[in-house]
Amino acid sequence: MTEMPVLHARNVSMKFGEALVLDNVDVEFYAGRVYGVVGENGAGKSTLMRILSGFLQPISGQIHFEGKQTVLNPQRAKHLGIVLVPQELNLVEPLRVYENIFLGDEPVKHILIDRKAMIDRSSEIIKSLDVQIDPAEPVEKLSTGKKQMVEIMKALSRNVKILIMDEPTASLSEDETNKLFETVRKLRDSGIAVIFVSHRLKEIIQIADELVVLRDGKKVYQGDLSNFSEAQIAEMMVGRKMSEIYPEKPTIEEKTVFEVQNLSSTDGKIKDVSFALKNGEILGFYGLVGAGRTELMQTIIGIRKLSSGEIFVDGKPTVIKSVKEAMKNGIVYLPEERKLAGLVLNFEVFKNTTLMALDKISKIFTKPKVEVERFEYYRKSFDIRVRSPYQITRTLSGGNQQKLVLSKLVETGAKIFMLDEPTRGVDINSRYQIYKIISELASKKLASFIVISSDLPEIIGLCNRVIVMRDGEVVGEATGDGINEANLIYLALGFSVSQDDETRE
Amino acid sequence: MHLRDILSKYGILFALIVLVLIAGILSPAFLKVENITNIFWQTSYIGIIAVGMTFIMIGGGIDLSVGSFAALMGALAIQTVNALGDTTSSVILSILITIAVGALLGAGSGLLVTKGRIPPFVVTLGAMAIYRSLVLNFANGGVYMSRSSKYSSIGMMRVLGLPVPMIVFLIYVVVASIILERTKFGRYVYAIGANETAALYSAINVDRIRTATYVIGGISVSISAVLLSSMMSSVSSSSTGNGFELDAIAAAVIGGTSLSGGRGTILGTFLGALVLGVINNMLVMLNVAVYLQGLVKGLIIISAVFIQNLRTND
Repeated sequence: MTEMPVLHARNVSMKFGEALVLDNVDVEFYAGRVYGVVGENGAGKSTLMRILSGFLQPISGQIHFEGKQTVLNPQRAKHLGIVLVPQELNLVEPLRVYENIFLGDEPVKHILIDRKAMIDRSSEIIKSLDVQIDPAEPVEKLSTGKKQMVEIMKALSRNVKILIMDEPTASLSEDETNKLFETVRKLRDSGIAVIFVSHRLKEIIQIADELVVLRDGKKVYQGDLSNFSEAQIAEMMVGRKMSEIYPEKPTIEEKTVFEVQNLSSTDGKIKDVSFALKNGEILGFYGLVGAGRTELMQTIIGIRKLSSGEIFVDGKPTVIKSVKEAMKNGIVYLPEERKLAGLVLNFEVFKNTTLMALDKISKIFTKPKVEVERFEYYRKSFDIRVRSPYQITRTLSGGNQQKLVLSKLVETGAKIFMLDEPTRGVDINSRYQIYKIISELASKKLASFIVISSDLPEIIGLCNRVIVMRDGEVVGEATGDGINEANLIYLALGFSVSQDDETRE
Repeated sequence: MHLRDILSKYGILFALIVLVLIAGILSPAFLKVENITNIFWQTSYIGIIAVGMTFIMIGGGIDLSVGSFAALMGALAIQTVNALGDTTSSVILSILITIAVGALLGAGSGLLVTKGRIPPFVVTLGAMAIYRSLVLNFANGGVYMSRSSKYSSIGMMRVLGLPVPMIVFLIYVVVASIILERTKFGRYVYAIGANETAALYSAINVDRIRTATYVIGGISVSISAVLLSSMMSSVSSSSTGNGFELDAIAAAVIGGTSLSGGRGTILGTFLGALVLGVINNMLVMLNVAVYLQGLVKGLIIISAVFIQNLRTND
């Protein structure tokens, strides 16, 4: 470790429009160390990384490289040896490994590309990383983990000094992750500063020498992390105790308001699912990606066809063939993909609030005045931050957009809410508010909730009861103390099946 | 507001004013009331079709069949009047039948797009070929002549000194603008065009709304066809309606309607149609070769989309 930081962002600030996304952040990075950068969505992680790699210019503050002040742009950063490995890999799939490694930087001999030099140097780099990759293989034939390695090799071919990795493990298997960590340690030992952005705290603890925590655009911590538990880091990220984030769980009435019996879908994604929802209950649905939770809700609201099974609303058998029929029966669904399915982004915000419930407001002609009034009600009670009701929805932050979707659903007067990943991509304050809205409606017995979430702390903190799905089937249920991380993961993995997976590898 | 915003929002109005000024300077006859009235008159046939096209395009579709569709509807109106006799009631009945058939054919296209899951481009390209072939076949490649003087008088009639097609056009613009911008149905048209998935999840019957836009398109084509065929007192099976789809789409696009749906206004289309009308009129008055008019139109469409992109690429 040298005396001087190899890269130093001094009091860097960044604004997007009105929003201050980085507030006077000062971070130093020394050679030969791994930095774990954590923070909530919207904390400013990716903005900071884009500034460090020259893709964004800060509105104030300076960047110092090896002690000298510099202005970065992508070319300059590349020249200095600052390389960003983006979350979405930047490889040309049909090209071979060595062609990708030297893309845009091909060694030349007598005007022509020096293929032999490329292959030789690729082999050297591959050897130095101790991985099994054929340099002549087309990249499209590699696993995600190996593609990630190719990205890193690309960086190594250019004399990298600072390697920035944005969520590198997001799509890796455990094996591939371990392999990646070995590589990262090798790079660190060779004197490279590695900046590792991740939301997986367990991995940060495993790999990082030093922790950087961002919250609401500010750096709230930089330093040693050996004494921290995951929970402590999480509390630094969100700025309050975990117990304060989730409101008290509502009490449940005995009355069943909604029930599904032996539901199967025609496409086979849902197999014989039964469950019941009590009045005022918040029922969680947990499972791995592809467990069929979203498909189940889509089948219930009539977007997918059911092949067999029955749905009961307030004890009465009910046939639902469309979203409209679901809504008429008091059932609404918040889709997983907010921008794709939740909102019309080029509408003024008030038009999204009333989009589902226009029938209540008007027979033929729309009444913008009444609609704006309705929006203003939610603006106040849900704290939706907008400049005016006529602001275009696209310009709202993720959290405000999600509260807008909720206002649209609540405006229908529904009793049963099915929320699919309700806080994904939502900042911590809006998240807290969304929990409060859910909990209040449930406590007052105005509504009952089904919450699909892949965020375990959320499921655990919010729900009265949790149903676990796997491969389109209900494989378990947890209540009370049974709602804990170990139990839910155990159920979601389906213990006997996970062993099969291992033998298949 | 930045210059760019002002340009993209009111650009079409500026363009129209500038064009009128230039035309007035180059040829003082241009600004005469009779010439202005003529521009409105000539624009109304395409303008009415463009209004229907605006509904379809905002809803996320397109209709390439309008030209041959108009020829077919004109032929239908003429043949029906010819068969029913030269009385006021038979003229009215024929017009109503034509509009009803136009609405039905529009519904057919709409259903093929929505329920049949065939891209609108394909459905209406097919319809274009089918309609033209039918028109050609029944006239054996010739002309449908109206034998009714009552029917033929509508297209040339004037009320309060204004030509009937112009009056119909103006009324149609006002009514369509209210339907699109003031009703629940209009709101849904924007919603399905801007984000079909979100509309689906918002309990909107996407298929029904989209089909309805094609019905409005069919009605618009029929009204235009009646006005045109009665004015001409005939329909040419080979040439009537040629190029209408280009002009109608151009009017909508110049007026700010997005080719990918979800954006546009009737007023914009109205102004867009007038811009095209003024340009046509100018080119004629300035003795520009007829064959080059397409070149000018093409350049204008491309520039209009370019200006639209300035706004969306912010």
